Amino acid sequence: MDEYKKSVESQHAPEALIQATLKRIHEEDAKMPENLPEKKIRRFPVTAVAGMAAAFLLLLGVTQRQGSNDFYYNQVTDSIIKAESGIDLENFVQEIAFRDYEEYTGIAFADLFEDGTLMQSEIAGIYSEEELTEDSGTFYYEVDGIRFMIQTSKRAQIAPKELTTGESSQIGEVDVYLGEISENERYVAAFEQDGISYYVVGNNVEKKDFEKILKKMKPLAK
Amino acid sequence: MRGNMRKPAYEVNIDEAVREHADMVYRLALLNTRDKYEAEDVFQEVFVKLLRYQKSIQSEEHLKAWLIRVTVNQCRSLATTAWNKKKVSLDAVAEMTDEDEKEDYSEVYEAVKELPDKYREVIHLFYYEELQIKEIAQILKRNEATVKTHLARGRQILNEKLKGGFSDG
Repeated sequence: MDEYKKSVESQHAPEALIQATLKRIHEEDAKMPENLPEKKIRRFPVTAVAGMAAAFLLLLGVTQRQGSNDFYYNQVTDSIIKAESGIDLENFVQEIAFRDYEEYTGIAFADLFEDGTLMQSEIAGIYSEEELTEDSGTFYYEVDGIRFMIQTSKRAQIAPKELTTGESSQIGEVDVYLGEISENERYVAAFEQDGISYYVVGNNVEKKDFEKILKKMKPLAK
Repeated sequence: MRGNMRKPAYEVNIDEAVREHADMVYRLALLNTRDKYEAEDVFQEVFVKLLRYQKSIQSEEHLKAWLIRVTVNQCRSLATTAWNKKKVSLDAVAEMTDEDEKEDYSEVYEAVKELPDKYREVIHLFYYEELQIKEIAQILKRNEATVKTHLARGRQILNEKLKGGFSDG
């Protein structure tokens, strides 16, 4: 294999490519959206989501009705944030290409909103013998100046069970489970449509804006 | 609440990481895409992803393994969408010079390059990056037994192609 090694060692990343890459990285870094949820869902896709749901079971508060339109909001606490720390599945999670995930789920995530912008995506899955057995997509959008996150999965029920055993509200023709973290204007919504589980998180948004976002989501606007 | 989050013990310096691992990523991308322009695309995507995922990197070893895994995955993704990316016109192809098309690599390299993906990746990581079977299995998310099989099969194909001219040395 010496010949092979010599051939490989004669290859070098062109300096122009390195420079262009560094330039792009610095540009991307400067563009990184501020005020987005800091959650790194990629670190606990799907199997961890089951664990997270268990954490929710412990942390969700009592379901109660809130007086916004006709929607029910299940009261939750921001203790749910704790669920993400201490979980590290990085070692067996693989990244999934955006287009592959669109094909896998049958969802055009860039077009999930008529007039929204998909700002960033993080998609990962777990493979067994090269077959995708679990998946988790995290997408950051901006719609009408409102930034929020949507998590999806085809293989797993990502909505916390406690939330989905609470009261549901109907948006379009879909039962949606809404949650409110009263302390810091964070709202969550969970629903299933066409075999895909959705979990929407609005951080530092007003309730009316969160509802506006949900109504604009194509799966709910049907 | 953020005070409850664990502070990462290792922090990636992106600029240094690009410099340090540039050749490793480029070589792997070039081998898997067999096209220097696609390899350059892969190279950029891998490091831009590193920017996004840097907080999940736990050590220098983890960084290297992560870069290899993401490079392999990026190459595979590119392969699945390559049909849509072929925008070079026939005229442009006709105008390409030999210099554009041909690099003077060894017969062994060319033989490895032509291996099916699953064998090529394992052969490169084992012989060039000098990773252990266990490490390759972790990076590529395959069973160790599968990696051994792919390595053996890759060797066998190389031996047949090179008429016994392939040696482990």
